[in-house]
Amino acid sequence: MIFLRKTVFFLFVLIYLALCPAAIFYALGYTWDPHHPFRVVKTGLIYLVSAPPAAVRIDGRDLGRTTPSILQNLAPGDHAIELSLEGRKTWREKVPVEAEKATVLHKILLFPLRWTPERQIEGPWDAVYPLGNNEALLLVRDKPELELFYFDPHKSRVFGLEPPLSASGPSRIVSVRTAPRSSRAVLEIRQGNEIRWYGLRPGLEGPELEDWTDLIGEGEAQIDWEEDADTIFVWREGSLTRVVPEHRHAERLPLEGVRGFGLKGKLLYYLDKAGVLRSAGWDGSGSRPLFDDPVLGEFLFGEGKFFLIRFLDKNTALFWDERGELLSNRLPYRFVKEGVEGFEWDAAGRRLLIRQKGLVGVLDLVPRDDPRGFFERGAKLAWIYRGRRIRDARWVYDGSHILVHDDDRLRLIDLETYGRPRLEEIATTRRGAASLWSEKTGKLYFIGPSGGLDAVEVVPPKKFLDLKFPDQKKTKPKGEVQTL
Amino acid sequence: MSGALERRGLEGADAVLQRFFEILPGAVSWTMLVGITVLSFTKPAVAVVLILAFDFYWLLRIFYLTLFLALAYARLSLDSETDWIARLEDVDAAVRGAASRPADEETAFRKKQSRRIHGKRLKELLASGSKPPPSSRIHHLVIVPVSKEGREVLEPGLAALAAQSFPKERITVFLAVEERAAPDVRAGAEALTRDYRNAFREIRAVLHPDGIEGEARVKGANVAFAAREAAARLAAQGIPFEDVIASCLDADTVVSAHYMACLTYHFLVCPQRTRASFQPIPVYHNNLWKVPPFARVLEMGSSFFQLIEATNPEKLVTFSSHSMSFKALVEVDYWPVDMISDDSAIFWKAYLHYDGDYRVVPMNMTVSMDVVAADTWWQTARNLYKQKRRWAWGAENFPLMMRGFLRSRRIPLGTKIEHAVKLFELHIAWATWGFILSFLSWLPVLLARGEFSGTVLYYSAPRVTAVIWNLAAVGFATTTVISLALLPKDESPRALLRKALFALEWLATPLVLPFLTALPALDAQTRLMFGRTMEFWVTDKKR
Repeated sequence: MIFLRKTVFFLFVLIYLALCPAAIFYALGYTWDPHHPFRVVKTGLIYLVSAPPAAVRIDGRDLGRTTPSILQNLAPGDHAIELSLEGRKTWREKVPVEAEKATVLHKILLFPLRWTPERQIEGPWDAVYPLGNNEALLLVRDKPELELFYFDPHKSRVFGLEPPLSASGPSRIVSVRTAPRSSRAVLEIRQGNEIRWYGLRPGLEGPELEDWTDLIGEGEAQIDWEEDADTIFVWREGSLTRVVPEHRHAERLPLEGVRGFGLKGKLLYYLDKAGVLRSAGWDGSGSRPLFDDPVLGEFLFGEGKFFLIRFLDKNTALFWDERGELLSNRLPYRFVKEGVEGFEWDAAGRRLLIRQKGLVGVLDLVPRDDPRGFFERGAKLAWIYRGRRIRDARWVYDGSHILVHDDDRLRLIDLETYGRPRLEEIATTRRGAASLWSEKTGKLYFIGPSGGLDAVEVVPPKKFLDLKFPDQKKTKPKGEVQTL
Repeated sequence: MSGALERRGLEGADAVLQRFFEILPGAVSWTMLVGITVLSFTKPAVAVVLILAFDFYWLLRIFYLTLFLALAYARLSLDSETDWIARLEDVDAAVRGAASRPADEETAFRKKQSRRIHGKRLKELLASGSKPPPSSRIHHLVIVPVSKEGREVLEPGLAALAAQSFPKERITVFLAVEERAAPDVRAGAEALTRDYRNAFREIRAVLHPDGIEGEARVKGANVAFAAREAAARLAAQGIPFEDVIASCLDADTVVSAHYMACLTYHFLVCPQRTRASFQPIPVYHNNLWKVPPFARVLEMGSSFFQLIEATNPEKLVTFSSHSMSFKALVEVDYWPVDMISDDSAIFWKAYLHYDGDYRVVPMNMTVSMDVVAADTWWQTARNLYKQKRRWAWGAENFPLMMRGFLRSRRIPLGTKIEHAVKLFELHIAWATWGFILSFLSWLPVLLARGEFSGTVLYYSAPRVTAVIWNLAAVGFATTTVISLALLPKDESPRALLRKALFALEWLATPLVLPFLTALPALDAQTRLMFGRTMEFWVTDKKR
């Protein structure tokens, strides 16, 4: 037994010394190539995940496997990848491979040969408003009387809302105010000659519409709130009012000359009349300056304009004025001079999707392919889409695609590429109607030309446990986003 | 060589060396665990390469251990039907010069193989020129330490000793009872000596006084005290110590009816029988079906460890219930009286005392012991933790062994290195493997960010790891099959279901390994590293 034990021990030591380095070098990307002068070559890999799973071909060879798939031992250089699935357009791309690096394409969408909208609710609908969390819709019929409906795409249910009655003339929605990640909305409704405010809250037994006019007051106002907090803030003519609708309570804050405000956590951030950014408690107490540089303040904020302040995190804020100027506390401070009509952070908080009337751009807050030069350049904006009348632009599928609602066209820009983004026509909408992209259902909801509420499935549902690698905080940079 | 195992009153270089070697195991274990964690954050690629190297090493260890586990089990099976009394007669006859029964007479494969090994042993014995005494001269001294164990725990063990096939008139039993034991425990021991007075040559309860100078509150002090008493009595009765085999059996140890005969056989056929300990394989299954699944899995793992160790007699160390020549026990001045791990320390004490001329002879014989148990699962887990920490306190042997090795000029350097590396690696593996396998090996990939998440290594390492784990599953499957074979006979109607569930219980290993194996070992090493002492915690036995 001792002899056997020693023999096996030394045999295993030899196996270890021979195979362990081989396994490690293999894991590092080294592979054996008898045709190479050094016999051992450095390789890279491509990691592919598509929805739905599709057959993989590389450089014309059918690999006999489907995504998700890791294509290993690839020589550095470009490789032609094809993903094909019956009933879907074939996805083709030249994918670059570098030695010891992984080229990652894990949000590939295989588009259907034909997009076929499915009718959700018969119309006709006059307008549709996505709510703040992008997971519900407010459907509107104007004629003959204002009728409001709340559509929950997850349950495919429609809830009728009690219509605001008016004795002074027909009612009409002026605006629907939403806040990021909030399921609530504040409706501005004109009834005859007066403006009334209604709060929309999803309740356990369906959404509720409540008249908040006496709390918010009359006239033009800026309204904001923090996710689903019970408190909303109303700005009107330099003063802020804190409203707690549940308690029917409104209280004017002891702050004068407020030129802009925003909320983060339990703090209120506001811009005072001197252009100084301050933070305070929700009741306005404990005000302290965060940024007190009159010269830079004057340069950035000018005089008199109102800024809505939005936070990505406690260190990154955006200042958006009524003319569409977009400023930030991050370099280069002035992201866009004018014309911004909307923006949205991606899920990772790295990129900002900006839309103007005719342009869609991506602002990369942490540009990776931009070596720090003599001057720090900071965030980098790339206009990637030029359109006619862009009504909405949304990140789709964890920021790998962008949905653009341009005039009456719904288009998808595919950024999951190492080349030029691809543009995919999805559907035509009723002119002037809004649309809703629901990341949870993977569907795009819109009012079709006939006036009914339609939906197309953009991201197929997962049919089985998708055992893939954890989402990367950072993948191999695809370089600067290119224009279409 | 003597005095190597002194721990108290050290001065100068000895004190420095002692502290250095006390710190070393804990320091290395912590460095490994913290190092991998830190590297996972700062240099994930380096961490992954190290983890792959470790995983590969672990895989080969699994194969190696599984192979020898299977061989050890096969060896154990060979002797399952051996008539040890007949074997003793065979040895006596061979020593007298009479012919021994040839192996060919046996027809069954197992018996034939067992007989073949027996023949080989006899040959070696006769060739060594070391003539053993006739088996009729051999006496057994069994010392059973009693501290918290009541009659219900002690009696099955005594009954098993009373039912030995070996002549009872040559078996002496000393119940080594702690003076500080509860009155009912002491009374229970006394009552047992009365009830079993005719079952042995002699049975006595020896009360070990509390607080003897130089002693710690450890089991070793208790059994050493009883052994001294026994030495005086045996000397007075004119029984030569070289004819006496001393066994220290834990209170819950239940031996088979042929244990003493088997032990006597191994003693007689061992050419250097007075320079040897004899180690049975402890299997923890007295109360196996009464304890929670994690306790079953853990203790079966402990049995496996001993089973595998039995295939490596060159480096085998005594553990738990064990036996040795009483002559050697007296010459090395009994078990250490201030160490927790007296069972393994006695080996090192003897090994250093005889300048390396001491060995442990594995016996292909199991002894049944209790799995730690308590009223609740949580309490059972706590008790298991304390028991494993006490076992892992065996790291205290490392500094003593190293000091002894540095002092000894007669033990070959290669042997010193082999023993030192084995003991050191054992304790490091004990404290770290569970954490590395269950948690740390996943860290670099889970925490991946920045450059690393875009490397080939990030994607290929989990695939290589998956292959390693799949291969390791072959080892696990073998282990599971052997664990089922080692289970005690179960006549209940639910036997099949129980076995099936037991096989599934091995899936709890990823949780049992870090929390009830690695953590107590790390705890023990950390205490040793900071110079803290530990009291002997007597395992709760529940029947």
